[in-house]
Amino acid sequence: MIITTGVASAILVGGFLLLILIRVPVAFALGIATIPIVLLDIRLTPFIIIDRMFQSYNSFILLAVPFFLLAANLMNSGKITAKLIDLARVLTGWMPGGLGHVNVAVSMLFAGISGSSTADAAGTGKILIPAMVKEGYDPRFSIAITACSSVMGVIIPPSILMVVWGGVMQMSVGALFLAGAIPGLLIGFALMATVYGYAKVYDYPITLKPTFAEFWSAFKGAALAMLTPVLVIGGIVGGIVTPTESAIIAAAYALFLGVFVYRTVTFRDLGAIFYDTGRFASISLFAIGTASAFGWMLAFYNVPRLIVDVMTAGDLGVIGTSLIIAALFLFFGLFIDAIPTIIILGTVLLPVATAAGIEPVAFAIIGIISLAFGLVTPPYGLCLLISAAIGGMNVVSVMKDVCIILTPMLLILLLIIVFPDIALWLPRTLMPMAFQ
Amino acid sequence: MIGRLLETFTQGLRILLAILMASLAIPVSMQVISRYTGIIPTFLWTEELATFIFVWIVMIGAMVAVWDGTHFDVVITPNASSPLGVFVQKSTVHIFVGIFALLFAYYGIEYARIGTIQSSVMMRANLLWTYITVPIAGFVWTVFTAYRLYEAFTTYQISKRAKL
Repeated sequence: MIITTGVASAILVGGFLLLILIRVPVAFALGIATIPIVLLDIRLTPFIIIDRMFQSYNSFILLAVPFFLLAANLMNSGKITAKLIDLARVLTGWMPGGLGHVNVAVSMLFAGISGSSTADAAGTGKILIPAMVKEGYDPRFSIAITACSSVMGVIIPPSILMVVWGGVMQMSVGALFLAGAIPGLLIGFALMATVYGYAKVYDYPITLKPTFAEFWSAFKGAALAMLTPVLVIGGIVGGIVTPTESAIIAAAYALFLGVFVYRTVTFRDLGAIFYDTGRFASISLFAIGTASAFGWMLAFYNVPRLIVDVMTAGDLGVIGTSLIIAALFLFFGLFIDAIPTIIILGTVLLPVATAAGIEPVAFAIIGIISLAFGLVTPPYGLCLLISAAIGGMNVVSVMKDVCIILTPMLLILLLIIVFPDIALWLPRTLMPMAFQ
Repeated sequence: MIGRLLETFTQGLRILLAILMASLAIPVSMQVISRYTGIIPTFLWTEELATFIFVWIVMIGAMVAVWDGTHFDVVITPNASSPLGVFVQKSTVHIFVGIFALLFAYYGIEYARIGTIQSSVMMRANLLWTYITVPIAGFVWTVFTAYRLYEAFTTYQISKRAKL
């Protein structure tokens, strides 16, 4: 038999939702949902699922993902994160709610070096959540601010999600990196304003008023680590290295710092670091394969075209379409990992965005920020799960604080939707050729 | 006994995963070094070798994650409280993953056979070297999920007996 678009969509989407509802792992649910279709439609065979999955791994750009994760793991193991916390402490610890600001500031610094929000939540959370609780901060606030600030990891460049987005949608990763910089910083400042509000309401203390000697010592300690963004972002934007090459340079540099400069990583530790990186990278990347098969099947049944027709018929304009796009990414981000969502939803919505006149780079930033929020929203908020586990609390009990902290961040997203030039100004200025 | 054997096998996979992750850095680093320093000549096969290793990393990591139960899932529905409920909840997941695994193993054999008649562009390596990961992953997932299913059933029986 030949399956119609309506039936195929119902089987794919309905089947997938049903499967995740009964707790089938997301990566497998995406693949399993395609099985009835390939068995029923005479034009398809199960080989297609396997081949689409397999071919999606045949991408040099995706190699950047394990290397950025490796860089982040080396930073956490090599106590580079601790050096960044020392720097953040002298930069922001003097404000009311000191450690809360330190938490945000270190995530901004970490985000500029790594590209992984989960590594940020794990690395900074282990140090800062117990420290905040010890200084009298509410554990729920400590967990929530750690989780929410870690989302900057994928917004401030370099970013694993941007590498995947650029690879999947054939866009300049350098332009995406630059476009994420200002929105990322705005989110950081919004978070700091929220921390300030909390500090005033709950009378949270300052951490320290640094002397110049303390500032200089912290700056010296973190200076070498802070060179990483120059190497990575400068290299890509300058057209000197590819994203994958920049990722290996970041990892090699983190290894050099950990082993030879700070001497906190031994060759014995490396086995565990390599295993942990491979384990986490493969779980994320395996989902790319099944998501590609799922996405290919949606495209085979012309579902993206149908969505484009429906959405363009509504004549919603740039802002209206951007809002719907953000809402869809936010919704999917609740249930699925960001990488498969990019492959399925990103590719489906790209023609919608283009038809509505949204600049592809702005579309990417709206999508990535929306997906980043999914990292702290249950049921599938990895950063929230990690932070809550470190703080030893239930995810539900910290949701009130997460919602409060997310509100100003959502306003920043809204601001970027209404004024996309906030994101586009930097790449247009430094990489005009990416827009030709 | 079987459980211990499978755990030992998975430990071997974990070690292999760490080794592959470390070795992935070699071809990519060679590419960077040759391009920017000229210390070593430009090798065209580095990108291809890196992709080969990458495929193995993804597949081995996916196998280990099935054994460890660390593939990401979404918890929306409440946890079952009765032994039967827990068994049904766990076994449903294992059965679905098992179906996918069987499909991978069965069609993967033919897929790997297609690989034997193809070669990579630069290294001229037989593509069986990477295509073989499909049936291997399918087979390993099948064994792992079958054991986890058996384990869930044993746990259910023990809890039922304890309740009586």
